[in-house]
Amino acid sequence: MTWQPGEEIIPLSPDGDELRVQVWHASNSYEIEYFSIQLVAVIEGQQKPVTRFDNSHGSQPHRDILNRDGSTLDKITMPADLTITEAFHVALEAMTHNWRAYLDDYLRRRG
Amino acid sequence: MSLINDHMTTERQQQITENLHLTRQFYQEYLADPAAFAHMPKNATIVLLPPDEPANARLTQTNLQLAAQAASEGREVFVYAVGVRPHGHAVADVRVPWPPMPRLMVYSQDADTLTLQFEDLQPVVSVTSVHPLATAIMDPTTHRLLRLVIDHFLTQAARQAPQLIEAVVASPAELVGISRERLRSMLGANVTRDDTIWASLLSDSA
Repeated sequence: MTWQPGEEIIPLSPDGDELRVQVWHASNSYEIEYFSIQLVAVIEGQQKPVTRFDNSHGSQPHRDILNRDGSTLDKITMPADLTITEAFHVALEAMTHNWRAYLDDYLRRRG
Repeated sequence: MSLINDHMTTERQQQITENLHLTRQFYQEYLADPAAFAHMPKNATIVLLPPDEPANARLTQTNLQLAAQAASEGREVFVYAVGVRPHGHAVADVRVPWPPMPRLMVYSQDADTLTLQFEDLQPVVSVTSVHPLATAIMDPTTHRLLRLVIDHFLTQAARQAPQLIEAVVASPAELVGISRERLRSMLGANVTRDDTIWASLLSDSA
């Protein structure tokens, strides 16, 4: 059974310092095949992707470090021995523990 | 030095971390039984509620406000209570008289909210603002009232409607987080039991 992919928005905080997670995934049975988990900050009314874990183009799961213009500054590959579903959970865990550092680094970047 | 600490309160940071923990739990429950979420709308805004405990009252209230905010912006909102989904057990369809009496009342001093608990939370609930100071959490299928959350209970609601304090003092339901003596002292008068006050509260706020 395959679920149609959809993008889910999970708000984390209200207006003022609005932060949200946007999750896109395509699943087959109980396993995820493709995913994208993006941390988004709303800065001066504009949605700004801060960082993104994904394998949405069939690539090995990785984290994109994003510039303020949305371009990719760097890419950190996740361990190769993870299944896609495991990588999905690890990505959420990393987001939970490291979101402050991700956002702080993003705010310090000029590009 | 962290830029975030300059712009975001510690409380807000804590809220974000807690919501990310809920996000992880949500997707664990989702992937454990995806078919149970077949009714979840695509491209929805998902607002997650923590386990229904007094310590979580503030996060619950904040997230309910997030849900109301998203709904007011025209987004489709899916509210999900993490950690309460029955695994393979049908939820008994126990009808209760309307309006029901709460079985537990929880006051959160930090959040200044009073939560009236009528029934266990369902996996999926609907959230409706029934009054500027009150939010109803309903079963979206049966429309039974599961929770009624009264914001700014002591600072605003009780001042505007002293019968709220009377109702809480008189109710036989267990009260957690504040004593009846303290509430009674705020009234400065004897209180007689009047269960119909719940009916007037609910009908007034509908």
